[in-house]
Amino acid sequence: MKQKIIIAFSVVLLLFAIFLIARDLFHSSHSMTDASCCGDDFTSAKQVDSTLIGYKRIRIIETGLKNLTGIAVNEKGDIFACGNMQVSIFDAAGTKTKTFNVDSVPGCIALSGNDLYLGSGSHVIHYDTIGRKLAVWKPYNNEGYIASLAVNGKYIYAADALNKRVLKYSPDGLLLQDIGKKDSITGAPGFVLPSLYFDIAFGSFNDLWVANTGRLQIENYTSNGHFQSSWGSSSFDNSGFGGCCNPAHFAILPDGGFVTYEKGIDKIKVFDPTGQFLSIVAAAGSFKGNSDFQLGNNHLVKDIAIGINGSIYVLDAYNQINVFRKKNL
Amino acid sequence: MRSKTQIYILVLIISLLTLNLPAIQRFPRPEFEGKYQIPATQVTNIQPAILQYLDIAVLIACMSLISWFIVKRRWRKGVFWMSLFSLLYFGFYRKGCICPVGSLQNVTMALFNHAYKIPLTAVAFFTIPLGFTLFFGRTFCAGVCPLGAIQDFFAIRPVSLKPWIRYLLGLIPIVYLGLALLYAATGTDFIVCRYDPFVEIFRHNGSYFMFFIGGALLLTGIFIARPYCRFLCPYGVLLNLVSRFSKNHVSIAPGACISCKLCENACPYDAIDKPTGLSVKNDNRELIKKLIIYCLVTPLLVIICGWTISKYSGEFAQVNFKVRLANELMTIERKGEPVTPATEITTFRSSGKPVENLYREAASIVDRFYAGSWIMGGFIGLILGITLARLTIYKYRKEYLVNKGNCLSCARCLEYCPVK
Repeated sequence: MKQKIIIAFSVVLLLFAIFLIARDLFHSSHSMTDASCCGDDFTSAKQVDSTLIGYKRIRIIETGLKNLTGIAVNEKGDIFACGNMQVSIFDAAGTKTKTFNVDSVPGCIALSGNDLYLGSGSHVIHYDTIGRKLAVWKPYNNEGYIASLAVNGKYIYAADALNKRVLKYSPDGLLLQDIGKKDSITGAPGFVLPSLYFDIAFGSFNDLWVANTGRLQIENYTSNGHFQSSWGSSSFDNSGFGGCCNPAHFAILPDGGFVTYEKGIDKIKVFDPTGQFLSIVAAAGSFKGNSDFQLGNNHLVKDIAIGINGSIYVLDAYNQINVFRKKNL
Repeated sequence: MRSKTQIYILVLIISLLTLNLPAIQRFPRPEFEGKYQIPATQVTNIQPAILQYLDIAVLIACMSLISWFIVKRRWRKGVFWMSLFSLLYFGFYRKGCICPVGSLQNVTMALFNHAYKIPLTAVAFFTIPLGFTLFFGRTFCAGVCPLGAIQDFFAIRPVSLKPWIRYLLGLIPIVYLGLALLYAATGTDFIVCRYDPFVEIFRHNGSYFMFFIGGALLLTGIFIARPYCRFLCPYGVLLNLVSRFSKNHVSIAPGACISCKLCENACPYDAIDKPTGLSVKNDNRELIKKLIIYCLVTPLLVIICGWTISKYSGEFAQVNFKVRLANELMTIERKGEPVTPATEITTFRSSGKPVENLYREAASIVDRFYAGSWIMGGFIGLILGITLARLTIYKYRKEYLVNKGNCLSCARCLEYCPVK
């Protein structure tokens, strides 16, 4: 009798385990909406008080292009947009003035005077602003992925997301330094990058800012790669960054403040130079009150750039460039 | 003495499982609201080529050694220590990857998808155990397979199962094999790896779901020895088939069996066939009549099972990502945009790829699932038919013999045999 009970119990447990496997295989993968990790879960985080919105959209530039990946703005207000094996230039009014082809798919773009730099795979490619290819720079290694570029006048910095390093290049393309190794003596935490989002920008003191997305922080380095400080914390309210690998993109305002974009939560926020939350530029989801602009759910922002007058340029997933300016200006 | 050693081994396994308890997280886990589950970290297993060759060399060495232990030395202790080594090396050190059980999917995918370049290790791990089985029986299952080894240490109080329960449960691995081949051939998923119940234990991480499944199987394994090997393992189906033709399979008695019955209850896997009575042997006419009927019924079973399984091909195809994505987009076209479309849909739309291409590709995958389901159903029907027909074939046995197909060559029964 005892043996029969043991057999029955064991067979039932075995069949139950098999049933669970079958259920998981056939049922859990049926509906993408049910399985979505970024659907309803961020609903409350996406809700924004309209009084916090400090910016208004002043222009939408319909680029008419496909698969744009990055934007940069020069001193005159011309917008350079890259993607789909080409670079297009728009004047400040949004009229396309020039397009030239490039021979690889660019993922990010940076400008310095008449020099234009594109990140493509593991390489940085140097062009001039009229579309002449000047050089392809030696990569850190062939397994890299340049996710972002920044120029501080003398040197060009490339954020390699796969190697988890920021690469410092001379203007003629010589790799001078790789920044980001964990160092317990200097306190450098090392870059933790769960995905390929890895943005960098230069601050008003020529200091390098890096989005250490796995730590949900923005870190400050000297131009020689010495770790100085960091700010940012894990939070779903406006004071920090929520979800995974955020901020996905950021840019620095002329006053040293930060404009950040969080993917998943789809929120563009402005922080002061010390990392204190100031206002919201745009957000998705249900606004409490009216708003000038809604990004739409999971409407991914691809890049952010800052104009010389502090205007914020946002490249969205529909290949539009949205220009925002402070409400009280 | 043996049970004491078994307890020590269990303590060792549990100690290994808790090795990473002092580990700290490198960075704070981000906050998530709602029901979002943080996915388990998956360890990629990219090894230098030389280490891959080392794995093959270790496999060949283990297979040679254990076959020698079983067939020539008839040494159970050797099998036991080999199981422990395999558990530590192929299980905890190599983290359960690559294993022959999963390699059958690599081989299938390579056969149906010419763009897929199959690693040499996968081919070697698939063929080497099959080759040894053809000569020496399932010596791989005996002590080289880490999945089998971990279960073997938990088989503390094995009980015998009724033949009808064994036959019914024995159909599950055939269905599982069919599904694994179907999903691998269509490039959908490697479900054997995805639902490997012990790999999470070897890697010290994974989903709670698979930990639960692994735990449930180990708990079951205390009474039903090696439940995964006997009633789930798809590679075991192939080994079972090949082992039936093995030339040098181990026998219980090294010489003539004296039918002392000492080994009768020795096998925890019910793989010892007892001597048959003479009275059954005489009843031939009825059996021949049944055999003819079953032979005629078998093609019918092939068609019925093929037709039935093909009816579920749509359900099977839903596991494929592209089919699911196409279905979701079609639903949106019919019913309108949901409040929060899935991330996959947003990503697909932002890629700029035409939806018509996706629909065409999904339709082609569904067609392949339909054809594959017919083959899979037909195969199951054929196995059912052959099993029924085999019941009518009378094999006279005057001594205790191992069932070559089901015997896992663990060598337990050898210790019971007084014949030297």
